[in-house]
Amino acid sequence: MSNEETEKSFSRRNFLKMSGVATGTLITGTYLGSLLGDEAPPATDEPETGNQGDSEGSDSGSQQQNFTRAYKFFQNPEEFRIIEAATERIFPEDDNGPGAKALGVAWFIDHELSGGYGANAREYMKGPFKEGTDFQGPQYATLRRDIFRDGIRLMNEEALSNHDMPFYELEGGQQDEILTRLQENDLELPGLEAGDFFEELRLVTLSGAYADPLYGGNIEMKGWEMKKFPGAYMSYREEIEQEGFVEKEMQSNSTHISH
Amino acid sequence: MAETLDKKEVVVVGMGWAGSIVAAELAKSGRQVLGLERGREKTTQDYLTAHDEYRYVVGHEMMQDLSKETITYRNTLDEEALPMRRFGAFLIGTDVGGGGVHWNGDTWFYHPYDFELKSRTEEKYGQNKVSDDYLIQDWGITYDELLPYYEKFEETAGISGEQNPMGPERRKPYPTPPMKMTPLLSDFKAACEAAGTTPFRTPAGNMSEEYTNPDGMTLAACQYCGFCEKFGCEWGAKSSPIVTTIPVAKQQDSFELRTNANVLEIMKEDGEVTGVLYIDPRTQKEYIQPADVVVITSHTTNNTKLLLHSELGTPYDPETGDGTVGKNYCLHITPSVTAFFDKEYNMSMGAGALGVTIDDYNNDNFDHSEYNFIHGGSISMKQQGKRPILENAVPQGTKNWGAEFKNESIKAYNRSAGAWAQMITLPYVNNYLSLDPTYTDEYGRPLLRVTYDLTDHDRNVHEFIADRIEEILDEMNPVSKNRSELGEHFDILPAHNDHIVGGTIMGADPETSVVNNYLQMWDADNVFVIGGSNFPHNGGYNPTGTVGALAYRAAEGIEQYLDDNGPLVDA
Repeated sequence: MSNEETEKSFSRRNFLKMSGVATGTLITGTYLGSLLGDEAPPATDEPETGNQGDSEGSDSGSQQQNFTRAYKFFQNPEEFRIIEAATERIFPEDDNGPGAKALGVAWFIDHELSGGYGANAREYMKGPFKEGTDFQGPQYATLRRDIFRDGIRLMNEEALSNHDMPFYELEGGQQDEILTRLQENDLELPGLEAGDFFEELRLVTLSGAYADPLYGGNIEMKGWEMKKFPGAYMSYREEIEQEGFVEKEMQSNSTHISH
Repeated sequence: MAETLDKKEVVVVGMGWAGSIVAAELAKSGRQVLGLERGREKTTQDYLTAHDEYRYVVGHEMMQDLSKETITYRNTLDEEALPMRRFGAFLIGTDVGGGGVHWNGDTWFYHPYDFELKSRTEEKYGQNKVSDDYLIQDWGITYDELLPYYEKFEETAGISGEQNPMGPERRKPYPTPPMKMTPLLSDFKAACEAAGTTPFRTPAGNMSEEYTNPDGMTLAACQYCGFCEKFGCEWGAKSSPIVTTIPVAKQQDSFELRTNANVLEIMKEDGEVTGVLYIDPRTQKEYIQPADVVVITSHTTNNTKLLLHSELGTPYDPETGDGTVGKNYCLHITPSVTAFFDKEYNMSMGAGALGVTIDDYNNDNFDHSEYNFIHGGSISMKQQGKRPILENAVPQGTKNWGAEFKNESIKAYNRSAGAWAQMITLPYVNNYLSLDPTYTDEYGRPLLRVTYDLTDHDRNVHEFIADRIEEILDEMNPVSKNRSELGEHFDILPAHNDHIVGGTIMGADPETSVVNNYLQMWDADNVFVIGGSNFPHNGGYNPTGTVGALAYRAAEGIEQYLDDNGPLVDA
């Protein structure tokens, strides 16, 4: 980290403390909002390869603006950066290939939380809500979009109070410590166990890494490539009996769309 | 105010395998049949872009919308049941074709022993082999009686397979030959033989070759694309109602399919069943559909719920043992072992029922004298096509996130495979279905309450079967193995096994069963209830073949009832 960056992040931290982001106080007003925007680091280091749906196309050379890379759920770059950092620890970049960050998992989560997934749309959400036994499944009233909002804030509060830095600027080991405390119910969230939030975060991270790229994660099918999962093939009839591993080009569902 | 519609001869509730078989058979003989389906129309074309694990598996695209209707769940009688707020232990399908669209295709005849479980157990092992708390009973029908209907379902569905060396000798070959063999399955087959067991090919509803069934419906050959379970087949190569019985029914002028028709109640007048009440979930408008015969063919849970809501039959009371509706709720427990190998297999390729099975530890195929349990389960290894989001097997002791998890799960993806059993569970006095006192569905009706816990008997079977699976997989020289463990209680959250049965069971005695061996209600001659809900216990195989056979039998019974108007079996 260069001195300049260090300084920037320190001043940013002071700003965040003052502004109340760290303690979760709501920021309102365009002035603070724009200031926060100016201060925020770039939302992602993802290479600008254009719209990933188009990247398989013929004119991948041209730098197209990717209109899908905007927030549907997150309210500010802070939230995005925290989720991006947390998911990268759950699914880190390694010798196998990219981690959650480079796979666009934070974008996947942003888009999913804005829709039916974030609203628990196809789950039974009628009361009364009661604490069940360990064998009766989740019984919390909080919607996923609120759970993530609270969970993100909690991760950052822990980072700031223990290390005086926002979550995404901590060392990996420090981030893991907070994630582990979440997983082990050693932190508190309103309405549910911290471990329940961690489990949601873990599953949605894997979904973002490995779902069809149509959802915004698994950029260029690089998640599939690591697992050698060829994707949305419609037939392996010619290969199913073959001895030895058969390498296949990855293929997404967009292959089957012909309009 | 509900609108009363024109009367039909037969109204069928639910358009899955059972309902569509009944509808097709009765419509073919000119009976006026109305099929009601709460969900929407579905055809093969709807699955052209369905190779999407996130939407169909994680998102449960083809399943019942739990925001509208679910079950409540508790382990014991003294607990308060709470809603199953999201899917886990088992899934419930919806839409035309029902579970018959998103199934894997495993299609079995239950063993002759299953139909006479109580009498054969007592005959061989005496009265006290299992305690009286296990409510085992004979089915009121024998294998020989059901065999013609099994064969009929196999022919409709084009099932592929070969003679089970431990099963009764087949009268006819399978309609289609076994599916293709894969390197993984060859290795498993060799391991089964090395372990002294007798492997054979899993009977499959995924077509090994193009097949035209006796109704003239043609099914395409399976492409081994790896997207069967929880998906519809874009090739029309997985046997399902939408490529067999539904189009056959639709060819008949006397059949009408009505979707968006959610049946809430079976209607009665002066004690006689007169039809059904249903609601269109889009308009919320209610309709009364009069009919001579009402056929209930929904999911196990919803068949039972509908009888309880309609106050048909006597609800089972676990305290007194009286009553029958809701009794003998059973499932399949799935003892499993995942083995990790050095060798890399093509695990993304496969089909739902592409597998090798052994039956040596199922039924009464081995002497149980020295064991503290009866029955067992079929053990299979399947190559169904792994999908990456939820397939993350890692050797035991690996943390479930982070660098090590990522590396191990990627390494193991094409280097691990599981074998598992469809293991019976015995009916138990406290495991039953009833109505919940607190929670309601979208129409304000009580949810179905499931009371279920693991029994000592079933734990014994699980340990025995898991040991046998380990012995076999050891012959494949794995680097390591993970073995399933049963928890302190049955847990509703983790995905387990969809084969839940009982609640409207069949039998020879109205005191201990809801329907006779034509699936006709003892308490209402013109009501037939068909499905997994008829099974007094779950045999050691996947249940769909038996549901299909019972549906063909019921169709014959309904035909006879329409002519004779009376009970088809004397109580």
